[in-house]
Amino acid sequence: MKTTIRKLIQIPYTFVLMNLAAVAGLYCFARGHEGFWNSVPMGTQQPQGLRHV
Amino acid sequence: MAHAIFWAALTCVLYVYFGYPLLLVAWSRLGRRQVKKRDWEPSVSLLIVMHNESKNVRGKLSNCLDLDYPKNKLQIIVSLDAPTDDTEALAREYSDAGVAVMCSHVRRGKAGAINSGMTMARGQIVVFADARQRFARNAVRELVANFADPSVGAVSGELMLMDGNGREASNAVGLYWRYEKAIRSMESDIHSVPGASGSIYAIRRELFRPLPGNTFLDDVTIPMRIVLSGKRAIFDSKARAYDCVTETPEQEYEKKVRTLTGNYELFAEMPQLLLPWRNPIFIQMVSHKAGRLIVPHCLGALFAANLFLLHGFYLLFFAGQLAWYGLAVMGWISSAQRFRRQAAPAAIPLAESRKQI
Repeated sequence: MKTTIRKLIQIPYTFVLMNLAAVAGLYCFARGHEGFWNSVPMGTQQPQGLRHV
Repeated sequence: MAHAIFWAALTCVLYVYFGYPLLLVAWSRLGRRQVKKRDWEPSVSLLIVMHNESKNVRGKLSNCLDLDYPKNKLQIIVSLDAPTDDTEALAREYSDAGVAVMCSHVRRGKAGAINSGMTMARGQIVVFADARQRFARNAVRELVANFADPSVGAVSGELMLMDGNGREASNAVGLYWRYEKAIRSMESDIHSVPGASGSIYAIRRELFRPLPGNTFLDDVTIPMRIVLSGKRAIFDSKARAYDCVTETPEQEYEKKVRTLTGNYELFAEMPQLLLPWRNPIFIQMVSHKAGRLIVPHCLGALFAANLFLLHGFYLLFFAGQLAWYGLAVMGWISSAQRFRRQAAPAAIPLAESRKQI
């Protein structure tokens, strides 16, 4: 019973969170984003070019 | 004025979450376009882009080498984007097994790594994959079977989110994902999906054009370019990849922020997607992708407008909104408590990914 209630209240919480994500997404877009792939800024590693095997 | 805002916002929210799916149900029954799927074996390049994936690289490459597809027709390419851990060394362990590894030591982002990987691709069909998710053994075979239909330019597989017991997740995040996949399936029946699952999708190599360096959502940009060129981008639920469901909504939130930021970027980079005479799936794009960006603002407007309308039906509606957001706060508290108690997240149910579907 407790687990069911906990699962049920996760639905409005998830709904609100997913909608907040759209607002946060707009904020990130407006600010410009670079660090999604990871936190290291692009083009900052040592430039050794491409290597193929 | 408050009445107009209230009803406009409510209509928008109801349309995006209920009206549009109902429209799709009716539309897919009336105007279903069958895909002429046929078992064939064209040459395939499987491209996996990685950054720091030392935890996943062995599992992923073993999974790829175990796929049910002729080895002489399957080229596996790993394109590394300036890894700072031992991903490169681990990937090169598989060179003898025929895995081609290319490594850039300059950070260029995912789009740059895809562009590099595509220069090596020789297959008629290119399958894109992420490092973490595991393919079902027949996934590539199922994906390519759709390309027997000349109208198909891109195929998205189905990402299955599994719980720790190896079953499809039934928590709130899992339910949300199932809802999303049902919509994609109906969109595919009509014409095309406005975006693929990044962890498993395929395209005809000849339709690929290099991505701009700032492209964030390759899994939307590539299929949408194909749709704009006149081909279909479909969804095939028989081609499956498996992942572990995010344990908490907060983890899903982080993923969602990235995706939705990418959607804003997509519309900025490809404004023709919002032109009905250019985009053959304009209604789907606006209802599905743009709708999700608009709804949160409508919810805010709905709540604010309701504050000025506290009588009769509107009072009841306001009570409903307070109850809904009150439950959301309770969910937040419950999630925070659970997170504190939680042990390490469950492992990806690899055994499940080996099943033939």
